[in-house]
Amino acid sequence: MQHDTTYRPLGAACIALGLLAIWIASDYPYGSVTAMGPGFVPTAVAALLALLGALILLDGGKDLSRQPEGEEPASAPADSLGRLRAMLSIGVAIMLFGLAVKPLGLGLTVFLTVIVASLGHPGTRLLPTLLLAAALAVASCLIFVVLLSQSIPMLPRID
Amino acid sequence: MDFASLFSGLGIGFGVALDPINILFAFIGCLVGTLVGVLPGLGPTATIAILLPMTTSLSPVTGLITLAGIYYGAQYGGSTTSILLRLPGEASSVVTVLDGHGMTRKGRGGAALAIAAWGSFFAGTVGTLFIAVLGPAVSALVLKFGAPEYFMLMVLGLVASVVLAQGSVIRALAMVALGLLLGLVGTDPNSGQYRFTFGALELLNGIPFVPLVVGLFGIADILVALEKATKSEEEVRPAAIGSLWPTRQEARRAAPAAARGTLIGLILGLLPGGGALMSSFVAYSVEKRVSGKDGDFGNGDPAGVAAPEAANNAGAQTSFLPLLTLGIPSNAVMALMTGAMLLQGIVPGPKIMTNQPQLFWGLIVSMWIGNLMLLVINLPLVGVWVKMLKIRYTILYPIILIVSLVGIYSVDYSTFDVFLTALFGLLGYLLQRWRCEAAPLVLAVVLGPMMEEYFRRAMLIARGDAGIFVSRPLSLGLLVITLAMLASILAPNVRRFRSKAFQE
Repeated sequence: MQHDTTYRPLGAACIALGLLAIWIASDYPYGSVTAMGPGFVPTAVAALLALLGALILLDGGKDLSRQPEGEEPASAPADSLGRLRAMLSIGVAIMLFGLAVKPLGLGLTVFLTVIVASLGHPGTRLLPTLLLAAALAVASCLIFVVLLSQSIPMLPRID
Repeated sequence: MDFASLFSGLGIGFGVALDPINILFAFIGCLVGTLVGVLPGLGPTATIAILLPMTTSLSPVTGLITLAGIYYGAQYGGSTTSILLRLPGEASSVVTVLDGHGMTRKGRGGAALAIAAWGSFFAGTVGTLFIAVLGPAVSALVLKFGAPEYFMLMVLGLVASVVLAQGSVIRALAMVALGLLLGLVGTDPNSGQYRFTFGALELLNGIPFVPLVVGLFGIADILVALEKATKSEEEVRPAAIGSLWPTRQEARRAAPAAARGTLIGLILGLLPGGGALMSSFVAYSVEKRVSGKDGDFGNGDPAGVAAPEAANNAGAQTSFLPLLTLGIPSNAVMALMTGAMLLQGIVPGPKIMTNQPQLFWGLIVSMWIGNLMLLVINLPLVGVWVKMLKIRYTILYPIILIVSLVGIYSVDYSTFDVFLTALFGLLGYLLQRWRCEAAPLVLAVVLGPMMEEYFRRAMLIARGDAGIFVSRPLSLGLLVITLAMLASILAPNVRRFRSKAFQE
């Protein structure tokens, strides 16, 4: 069985986040126990997070138990290219949507977002994707703007 | 319990729930919930998260009724795929797979669906009555709670959700801490100090809830699925469904099992963190024990479908009780409901019943109507749901993405919210890779600000003496239960039970 090493990045991330939060919260008045300032609880919670992160590291992936028998194996050998592809296409698609929806209007934005997002799957084919993008562009305008009367522009803004 | 007020309450409830608009939206909710719930890989939590933004433009009662409908629909959709395809949409329908798909293999898939639907309906009816009877009593009791009790109750809720939840306890505790921290982002209500806002005005009111949950559940799921995607997808081939009518023998086997399952679900649904998941597992193992040699479990025993399905629906129903009476969500779905209420400007808690009887009773009655609709609409539409399963993922995920994004954008017309979604999607993806559950995190985000408020108030009353949590009997009791739960993690029996319970 492959040993699960996910505890390492997780523990490290918890400690880092906890310490960062303690540092940021040190600017907030701490107050006293009777009259707590805005810094009291954040510091306490951040310390707890860092502490748990340290525990996770010390525990070494055994999750407080002595029986790692038959636990699920660590995730399948990662295909880092596929991962990069998924991350990039979805990430860019979301950013694109956020930036484009005001100037380009909903229809065109949805069309472009679908195309970018579709690049994330190795099985995507051109024609079905174009059809889907067009269909979703029309459908989202109809459902959200016409039916649910959200005030999102449908067409590009012409200044 | 005085029955006059129960009936007047139910009267108000039927008045609200039978309003044509509310019926229409309960119907739409159930339908859309099932539609999305049937889709592979989308469980109730993700379904509700994705569809949540669309309900914010509705009136509060209608919005919540719609969400409740989506919840039942999604859960029912999950059992459909478990029975017909061995694909549990989420953890609570894992046990249904064993005998549900067993019945499908015998050509009795239709009967299994019918048993699941009738069992759920029965459980839902009992569950609704249970809430209607118990809700007012609990609300009255809770109004006597002071700040220390409230604080301890929330700690208990979080700890229980960790102990009863799936997977590693220590990781879940870390998720709780992270969630509490995220919950503190925004303006401190007491001093007006901005905390962890990084100069972003959009964060002054706290982290926007919709981007958080859509990112953690919806986007993260897409990323995880895409990572595993390969060029050629297997086509899903559902087996023949057969007759939708159970035989007399099957019915005789299923009915008592559904009754026992309901009882188990009613009680376990009240526990924080447990809800539907624990209920269905326990109901299944009880059924196995009750049947002894008569049972044919694993090969399509109707009792093995009826008991867990009834239990998870009863559990889903009663998990509304802590939310409506205490204002404390007991699991991720209820945390989403809390978020929806807060977006509508409603603070869940014991005062809802007296201040907003329309909302309280309307929601309770519409739960029952929702269950009825599942039975009346969904069963005949089984063929349509099965067709949904043939949609390829290359088509599916862009649709999910667009629905999520347009939904998020339409809440506040904010580009910032859209970017935040990407960020939380990444966080959710990392957490999944690191075997961490997002559910305790979301629960903690919702509870965090309330806990800080009650903690500070308690300390103020007690002049800084933490002994207040021990000196008040109710608070002490809650503390003892919390500690016992934490200690139980280390007990070998419980550990064995946990690993057995979440093996599948």
